[in-house]
Amino acid sequence: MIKVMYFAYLKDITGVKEEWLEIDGNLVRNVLNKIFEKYPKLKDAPIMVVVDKKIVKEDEVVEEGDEIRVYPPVCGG
Amino acid sequence: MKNMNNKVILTRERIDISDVLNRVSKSEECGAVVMFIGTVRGLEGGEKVHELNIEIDMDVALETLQKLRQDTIKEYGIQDLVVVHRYGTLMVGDTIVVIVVASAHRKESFDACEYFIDELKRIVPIWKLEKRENGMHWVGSEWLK
Repeated sequence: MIKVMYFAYLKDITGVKEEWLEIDGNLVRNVLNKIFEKYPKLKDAPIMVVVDKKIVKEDEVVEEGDEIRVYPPVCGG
Repeated sequence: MKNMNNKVILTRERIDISDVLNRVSKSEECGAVVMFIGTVRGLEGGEKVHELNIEIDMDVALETLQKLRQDTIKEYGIQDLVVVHRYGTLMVGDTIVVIVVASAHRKESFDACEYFIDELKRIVPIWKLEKRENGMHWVGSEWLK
């Protein structure tokens, strides 16, 4: 199981701040596919994924118990 | 905001610009200090903005800004860089962010300051929710339409 946390307006789309998801595979891409399957509105969204405080790419590995932060495009400043 | 060694600050409080300026370390070789101040616009896309709410993923934002600061100092050969960013509810005209850069000559400071704010906008987990006259609007959420 992977803990997924949603930020800003993604929380409005998913209806939850965080949730545990069962993932097929061990790549960030697999997590994203699971999220897209559950929330079709997010498919092809320009979202950013952060693991252990670092931005990760789709082909990077996630491990059981990891916390995945899912961000919509950021806009500070 | 009391500890003057703090160079990266995320705060709910109003930003005191002279406090930010006093945090910058300058040696005798320093001949340039550049400051960028970002403020809340009252008009966005032709619509009146009444209020801005800023959300930050605090731990990640702080660490990302600290690393960005170190990388910028190294890359541009500047002497110091201080950044203070607000979160919570802000009104039109309020200061959102202050970046102060010190270096021997002005070019490094201007370039470093521009690079830093561009990167801050690109990678630091901060979001803005505008209260406009026609409703609430998340900045950068146009892709949802």
